Amino acid sequence: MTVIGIDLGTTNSLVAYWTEAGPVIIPNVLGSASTPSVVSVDENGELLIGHIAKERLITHPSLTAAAFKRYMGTEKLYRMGPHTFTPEELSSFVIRSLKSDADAFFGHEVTEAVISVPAYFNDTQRKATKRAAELAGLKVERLISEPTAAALAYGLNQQQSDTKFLVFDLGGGTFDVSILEFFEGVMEVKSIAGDNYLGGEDFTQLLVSHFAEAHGLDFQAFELKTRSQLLKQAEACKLAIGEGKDGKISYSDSERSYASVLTRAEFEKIVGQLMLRLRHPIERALRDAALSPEELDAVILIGGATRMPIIRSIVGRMFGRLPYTEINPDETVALGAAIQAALKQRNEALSEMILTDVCPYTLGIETTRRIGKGKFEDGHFSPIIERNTPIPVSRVERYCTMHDKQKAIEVSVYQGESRKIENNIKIGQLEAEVPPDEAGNQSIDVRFTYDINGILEVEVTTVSTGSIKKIVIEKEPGKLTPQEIEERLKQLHGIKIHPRDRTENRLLLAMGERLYEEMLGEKRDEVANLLTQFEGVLASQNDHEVKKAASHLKKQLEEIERWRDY
Amino acid sequence: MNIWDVLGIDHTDDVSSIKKAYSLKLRVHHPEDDPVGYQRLREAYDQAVKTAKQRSRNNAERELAAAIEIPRQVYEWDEEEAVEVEEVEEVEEVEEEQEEEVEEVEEVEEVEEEQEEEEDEDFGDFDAFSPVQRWVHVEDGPPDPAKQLNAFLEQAETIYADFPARLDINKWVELLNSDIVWDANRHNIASEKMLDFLETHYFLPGPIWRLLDATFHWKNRAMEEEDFEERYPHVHAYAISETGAASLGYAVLLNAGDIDYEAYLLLREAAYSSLLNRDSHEASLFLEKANGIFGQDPNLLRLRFECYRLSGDNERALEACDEWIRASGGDADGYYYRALFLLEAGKLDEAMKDAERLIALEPKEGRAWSLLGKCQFKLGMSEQAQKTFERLLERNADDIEAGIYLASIRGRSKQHFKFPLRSRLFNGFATLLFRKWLTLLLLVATHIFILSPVGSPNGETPWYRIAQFFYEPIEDPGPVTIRSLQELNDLQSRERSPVSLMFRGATFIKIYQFRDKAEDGSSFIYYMSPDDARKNNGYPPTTSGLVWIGELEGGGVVAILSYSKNLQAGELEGNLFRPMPQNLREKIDEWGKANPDVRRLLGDRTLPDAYLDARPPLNRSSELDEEATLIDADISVLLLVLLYGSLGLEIRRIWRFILFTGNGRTRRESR
Repeated sequence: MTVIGIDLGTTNSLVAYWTEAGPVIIPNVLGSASTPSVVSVDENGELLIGHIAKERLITHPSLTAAAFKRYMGTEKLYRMGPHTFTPEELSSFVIRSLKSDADAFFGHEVTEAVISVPAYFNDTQRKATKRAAELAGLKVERLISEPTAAALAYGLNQQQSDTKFLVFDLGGGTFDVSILEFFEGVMEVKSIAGDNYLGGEDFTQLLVSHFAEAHGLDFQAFELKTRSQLLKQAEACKLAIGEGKDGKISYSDSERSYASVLTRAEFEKIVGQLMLRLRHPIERALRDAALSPEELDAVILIGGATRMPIIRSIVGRMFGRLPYTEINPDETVALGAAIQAALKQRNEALSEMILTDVCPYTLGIETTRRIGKGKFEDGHFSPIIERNTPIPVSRVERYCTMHDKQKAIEVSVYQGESRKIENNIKIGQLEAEVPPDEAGNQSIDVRFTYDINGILEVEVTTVSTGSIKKIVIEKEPGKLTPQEIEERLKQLHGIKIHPRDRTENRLLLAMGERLYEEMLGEKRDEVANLLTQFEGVLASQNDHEVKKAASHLKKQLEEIERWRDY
Repeated sequence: MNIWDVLGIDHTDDVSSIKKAYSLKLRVHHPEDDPVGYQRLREAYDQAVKTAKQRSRNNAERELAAAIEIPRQVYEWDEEEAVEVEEVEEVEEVEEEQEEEVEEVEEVEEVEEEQEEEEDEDFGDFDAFSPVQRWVHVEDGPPDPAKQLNAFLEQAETIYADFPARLDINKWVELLNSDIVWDANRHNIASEKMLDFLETHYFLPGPIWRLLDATFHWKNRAMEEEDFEERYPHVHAYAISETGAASLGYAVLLNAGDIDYEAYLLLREAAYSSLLNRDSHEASLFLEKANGIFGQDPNLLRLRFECYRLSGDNERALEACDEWIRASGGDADGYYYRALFLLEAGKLDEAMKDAERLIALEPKEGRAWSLLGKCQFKLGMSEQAQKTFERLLERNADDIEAGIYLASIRGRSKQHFKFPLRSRLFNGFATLLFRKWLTLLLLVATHIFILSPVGSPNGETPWYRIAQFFYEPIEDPGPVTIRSLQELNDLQSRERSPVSLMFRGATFIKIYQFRDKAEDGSSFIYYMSPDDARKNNGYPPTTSGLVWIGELEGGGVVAILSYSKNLQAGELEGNLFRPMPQNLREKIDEWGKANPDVRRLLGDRTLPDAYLDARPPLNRSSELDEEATLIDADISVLLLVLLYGSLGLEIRRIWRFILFTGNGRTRRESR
């Protein structure tokens, strides 16, 4: 039985598996390693996933969803044509697409997977990810945090033992820093820190805002389609600068056209504020791991955004050394997930390695403090499990009553780093009854048990009576019972996903439609002609003819795209 | 079980053997299979490593202390050590500095060339975030950290000391882009040193504070460290809570020429905080001193305005405000506060002018429009005010003030008068019925109950009893005093009236009253004269009363008493009943003919058709009966009071509602 490793990214997702020779990426139907995490709905209500959907971001922005991983675990709803989806359902479509690639690759159905999540994902987000896999028909017993996966991928390459790494992961939507130590066959996560709202897309967004500001345009007032177009250009501009060229952004409305050329220096000035935000998580991770930078043996860069030269320079300045970028930063996590999948099966080749992880947040409860006589101040946060404590872990603290004849103690569970609960996130609540007594005479023991999958169990014992109350934190708006999952599964299976073998043809058509919208005049007519011809061939349903026409169309379209800018 | 037992080794300072032991034990207590065992193992391991590291560090320090001549490499987070090092090294190395720099530059160039070949120009022209020198240092051993830190702080001091440079954010951007700030290793110590420096040098504009915070993340620290505010009160006030005098600008001071900036700023800040503490006297003292140093600062004039306003000196406040606006060359804040001030003082037209000026200055700011709306509102320009506030609400749906004003404008305007009074009354009535149908039903039922004789044996309705209860004490405050027969005849003819008769004298005429029960159970009263007694062989044993004749001015009147002792002149209280019962009159006439005493008493005058019953109440039981009926009455009365009360409240509410929408304006004005 093969278990696959999945990197479910904000912008791109990948799937990999373990071979005797090491982890290998499974290509998708179009032959590329990564599948964009984009979902779109076509005119017939069918779902399109990946590259095709990405093309449709521009032509049909209101029918297409992207970057939904940022809203994983929230109640945000995406309305797309006849359907309404939650972020986890959208993720499940991406996982299904990856699964079908793997199924085709192995020739049999894959039923189990290891999925990577950002280290900073909280409990709710992790559970949502697990459910997304369940909805896609994959059993997921283990989630792995992305930096851990990346370190696994590098840990294998490294022959020397006793190594300390820092993994710097700047993906599309999130920034994670993890410090790990590998010794004697143990991979130990020492600390993690991060920023859930900082990623490559913020750079793109910043470029667009800068462009709009420079030309006095109001980005928010643009149509969806225009916005997508601008974002796409900014993305290209970012890549061009990364390659050492100047970047270009242009936009034209009915009256006039605007264009900007950005040099690398200008780009770096614009994104300077984002650079400052990178620093804090790094300092925190170092402090929590009680390490100084020169105790680190390596700094690993992963995530697409780390291809930007400015990131490499910054990392160089901060650590006084060149970062590791030997493995393709886009593939590292998926490869690591595949290693973890093999680890999970206790595959012989890897039986030696044991992985220990840490809890990403401080977890605790709300307490009230007495300040002077008869004066109380509530809203204090009393930590029970400090951030970066090795997991699994179970800790207990004792709290006592505040008032005479108090009948119950309310235990509100929070996660966060502030001394005041108002700045932290509430993740659950329960109430423990105590026998009425004088203030301070009755007490409860609050036990937090944080398991290896990042799921928190809170147990409250009333000391005098021994009665126990327990919750597994369930701040899950979209929490489904097994029956509901079954039902939702049936519903989702009712929605047609475009057949995999015709994906390429659909991609060509989608690409053509985009080009049609981007072109003007003669070239536009040319694209239209090509598309009509191809649709005619498609209708004939002659497979041989269709293949021939498809390869012809592909060449033509690529040609047109190449010359688009001239 | 101590940590070494858990790890299964003897006490050691050798980290690698601790690790080896831990890794072996880990296979037994796998985190997945044995969470509890793993937690114990892990805690033991962490503790062991910590102890081992601490000991080897102590050893190293001891060695270092022995060889004091060798300069230490400071990579600790500990600032004190760094300070020590600074002091030791400063003197020796100043001269060497220049040479070193030359060498460094050469090396940088070499490395950069290598990079260009390998990295496809990736690092070649990285200028914005300054050169890649640090790589060189790694290969050559670290640069002198203390010296770098010193240079950094000196630069900060230089920038701060030069007032124009202090206000130039680019100077700070450049400073904060230095290697020491970027270096993850020394970032913290730079942050600490900056905090110490800025705690005593805190007169910086807001944008520079924000840049500092973005660089050093002090806001986060303040959130996590309890004593941050205590340790750095000024940094906290200016950078974190932003409650300090940071809102006062600094740019104007650039024109001040050669003044003592620090003294001036301190005085200005002192005045500001006195104003915050609402101490106008202290504030005015500080302001005066500050004015002596530099008088052209609009911020100072603004503070003066606030100061006069606080002390209630409106005229001078207005003057100060005018001056402030003049000095600032038409500062929007000036117009805003002056307009508010004028608005409060009731100078609406002038306030309006300021509001219009303010809109011309900052047409996008909500406060300008809000001000205009308030002026329009106070001037009674309802329609314009409504438009203004509507626009404000459109821009910001959470603008509560605008919402309130809009609501009162609408309440004031006539557009809601369209409902005719009749339909409003009808609505009110319907509402009443809808909300209070149960109360109304209960009311009707109670009324029926108290008006009907149901359940009462003597045919008295509860209503009657209630009426009795209320009627008697209220309508008849006491017995009427009667002296003459004339007064008695004039007394309103009633079946029973309480009176007090003033007799000249009274005589018992030996007629007795008896009460007996008939065969059907009803009681009857009869009278016996001594004649009857003789015929009857004596009186029956139960006398219920004795018949007297009292002498009033102008004639006599019959009285029934319970005793026979002769009365001289005196007062008798009792109930006067009419008419006199037929059997009593007959008995008197009959006996009067036979008895000369009675004849003498009566003379030829006829007795009035009334008699006084001056006996004390006969039996207690009737009193008890009365109390019981009163309790009955109490309950129904209480119920009635409650029902009417609740109905009344509802009616009052509906009435108000009808009045408010119907006649809101007159109500408001009449108030």
